[in-house]
Amino acid sequence: MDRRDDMTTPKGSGSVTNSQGDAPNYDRPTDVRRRLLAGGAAAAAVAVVGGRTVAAAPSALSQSELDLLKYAQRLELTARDLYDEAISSGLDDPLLEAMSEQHEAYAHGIAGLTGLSADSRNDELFGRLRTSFRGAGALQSAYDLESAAVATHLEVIGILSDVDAAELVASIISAESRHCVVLADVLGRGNELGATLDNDAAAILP
Amino acid sequence: MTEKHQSDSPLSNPMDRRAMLRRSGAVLGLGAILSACAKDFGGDTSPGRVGLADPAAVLPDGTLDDLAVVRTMQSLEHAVVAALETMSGAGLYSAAQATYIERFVADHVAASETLGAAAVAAGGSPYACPNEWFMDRYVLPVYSAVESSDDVARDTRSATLAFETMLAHSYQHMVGLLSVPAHRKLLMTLGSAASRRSALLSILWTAPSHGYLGPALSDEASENDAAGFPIHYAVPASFGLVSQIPVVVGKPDDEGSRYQTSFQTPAENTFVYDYMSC
Repeated sequence: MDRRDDMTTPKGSGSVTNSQGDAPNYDRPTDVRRRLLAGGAAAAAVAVVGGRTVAAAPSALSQSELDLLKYAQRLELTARDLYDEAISSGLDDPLLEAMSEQHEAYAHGIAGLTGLSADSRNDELFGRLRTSFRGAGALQSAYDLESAAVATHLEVIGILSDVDAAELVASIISAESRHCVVLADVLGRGNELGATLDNDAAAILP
Repeated sequence: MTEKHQSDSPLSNPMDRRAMLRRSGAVLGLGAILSACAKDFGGDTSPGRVGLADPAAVLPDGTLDDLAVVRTMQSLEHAVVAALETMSGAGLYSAAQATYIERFVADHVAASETLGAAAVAAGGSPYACPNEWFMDRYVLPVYSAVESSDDVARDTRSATLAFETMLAHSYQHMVGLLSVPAHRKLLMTLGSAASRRSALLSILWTAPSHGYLGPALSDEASENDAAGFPIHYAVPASFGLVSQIPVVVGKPDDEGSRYQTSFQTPAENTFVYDYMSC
């Protein structure tokens, strides 16, 4: 039986069952890095993980596509560093740790496809969001960043002509869309259909 | 007398070597002429058929292009609408669940209209009908198992989550089959929404007891629960998945087995080609 359905009363068409009846069960130990190293699609992406940078075989992508993917890669490394800021400021949680690891995996995935080293973040964006990730609004900031990342990658996939690159970006979009819903639930907004199902965020464009 | 008769008959004359060669050459020559002319003799040369059934229809060759992909996804949106509305019409959802199932149906209808418009823009026609192959193989048998289950509520949740997850996987899978970047963006915009619906259902129905992270991300997560039902996590893996979605529903049979199937992303037998209409 759906525990949340049992415990709550519907609040009209704009809400789902209250997700606050039970504390989210995400406080479980994870070994995400090891899992990533063993993972299927991520295996190629993180095959040379060990430090914080990855370089791979050169690609046949056009220069404009490489520039676009480099931008996306730096966005992912920025997200990783922002999650790490939140964790280091006291919001140490396996879920945030997992998301940090995943954004790093996305950057490495781009490196594996393009040969572009995953060695630099978007410093301007990092500087703009760093404070918010170290404060009480870190989870909301994370939700906003994930939503913006999805919007950004949708713009990217609408430009890329290379099918392999498009498939990689599509898999990142799928995963980050799920991040948004999880973060909405952690924020206590799991009962808001707008927060969980809609994405009104603007893309972060160069 | 007897000797004379024998000597006068040409048939009784012993054949000499010259006569034998002459006659054999004539036979061979006649055979060659007949063989050369055989094609002009007419008549049916096909192997023939047993029985009086109508000849098998020959299907046209379908082209897998962007239009077929768009129409296929439109047909899958309609198939999921059919599944949700059938379960809703049968009263399988609680009042609380009905609030977001109604929103899901509205989203699927809107997605179908978007895809139909894209099909027209691509020079084709919409396919605003459920995918027949998917309906026959998945929707109808799954619904039959759910409505007759020993735990209808549990199986309604499992089936609904599997249908939404199938759409999420399918949209992502289709990106690799598309050639126009704008079509990829369109499908992944809808795919992102499908992933959100799938994650929301996982959060509502799975996370309270199993957490958010799947086995690829958490040591404590498992593929199935204690009763053997597959667990669908909100974040099953680091990257988006296009894998099969296991479904176990229905009451146990005499041997204790339930109906099992796996939803798959579209393949050649699921595509809605340009010559298909509804």
